[in-house]
Amino acid sequence: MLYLDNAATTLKKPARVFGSMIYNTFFYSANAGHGGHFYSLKTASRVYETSEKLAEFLGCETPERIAFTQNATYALNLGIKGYVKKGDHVVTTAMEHNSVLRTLEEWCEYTVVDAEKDGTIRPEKIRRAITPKTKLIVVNHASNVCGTVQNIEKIGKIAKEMGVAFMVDGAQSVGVIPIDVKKMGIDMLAISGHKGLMSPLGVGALYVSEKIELEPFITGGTGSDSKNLNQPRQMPDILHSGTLNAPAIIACGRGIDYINKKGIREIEEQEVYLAVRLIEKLKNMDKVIVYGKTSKEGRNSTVLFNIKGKDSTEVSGILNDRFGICTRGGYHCAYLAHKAIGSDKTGGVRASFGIFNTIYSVDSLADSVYKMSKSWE
Amino acid sequence: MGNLLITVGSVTTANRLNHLLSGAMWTRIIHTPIKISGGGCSYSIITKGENLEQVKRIINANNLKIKGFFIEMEAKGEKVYHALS
Repeated sequence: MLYLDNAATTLKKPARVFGSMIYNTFFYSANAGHGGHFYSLKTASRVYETSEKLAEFLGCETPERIAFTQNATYALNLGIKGYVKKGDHVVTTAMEHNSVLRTLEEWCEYTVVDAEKDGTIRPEKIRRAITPKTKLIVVNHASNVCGTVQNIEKIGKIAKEMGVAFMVDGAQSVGVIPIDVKKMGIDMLAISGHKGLMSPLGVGALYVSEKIELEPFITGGTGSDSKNLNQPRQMPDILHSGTLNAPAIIACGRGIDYINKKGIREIEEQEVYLAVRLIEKLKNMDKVIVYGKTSKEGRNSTVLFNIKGKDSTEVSGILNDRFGICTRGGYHCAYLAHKAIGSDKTGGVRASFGIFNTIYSVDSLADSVYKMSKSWE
Repeated sequence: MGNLLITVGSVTTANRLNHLLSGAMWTRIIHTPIKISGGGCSYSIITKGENLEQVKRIINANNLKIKGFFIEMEAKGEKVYHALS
């Protein structure tokens, strides 16, 4: 099977990630930060090493500003619900995933800034949507639907000028696009470990800048300040209730080592090259529509397309069943994004490349799509 | 002089401090003794008492949040702790 669903999770991981997961499941699966014995302390120390690597990787102030979560959705919920109170207003965009939009829908007033046809958000539209009640701007760095990458640094500047906190959904960008939270003016960053950082499933993280004070959304045992029935206020304990998924978090650190060794810019360049190669091939097919940006600028490795008149889930199903290629059809938990780029009637077929894909992966998919579109003539 | 205990609020801070100190001196992370933990469970770094000034310099240089400094002594077979200001 050819795996092209890296936007959902990177199925293939570096060998060192698997090795670390097995080793640490066996030897260091104690309860990190909940005890003083050898294994608890050793496990906590190894979890800390991942915090340190991640903080350095993203330019965070200190490792304490990173809290581990199950995934990026949890991180977004912790950040939004921990910072925005009832009555506050949030500005977000049409390119968001339901992890943001559903959270805002149930939590507070919000304004959705529309996107251009290629998925780009005009930063000035975000400025215009800010009201005196606006407390937070939430923007997705790279679209999980069509791969469009937003100008985060410019939006960060607007947030700073307007005195509004800025949260970035980095689920599709951390590990594949260079990020410096300070330079980009990011106050909170939701991170997926199991996508770009190539960790096992069950790892995400939330970066919270020193300027932001959160209310805890999940409360419980943190291994600290136990006599106090109130949740500790300091990071990361305020967000670390319950037992951490230590072996997977430690393995995430090995994923970061791999990225650092290979070079994030090289990874970005390689993945975007594959995406653009596919786009070029698809554009030459009469019956195929490609959405989003078609050049390498302002995009990541995710490509969305349709065969005219065909159901995207059917196409994705045939790619799987007949050609052995894993893509994802449908709406990708981001209907507003599909609406913005014009694929809301049909959804779309998403191919998303990862570091272990090659030119062969692209050509194989393109040939299969071509054969399929011809067979329907 | 006995051992120096530096108490902190979280295991993450304990590890960060341990990483910063361990290149320069002997250190170990321990569960903070109940006698000095105040709010319940927490973690401390233990090192030799004579390292106090160097430890303070490293803490200040890295803007670490510390709950307290204690000197651990033994009296009549029991450990006793003296808070340092």
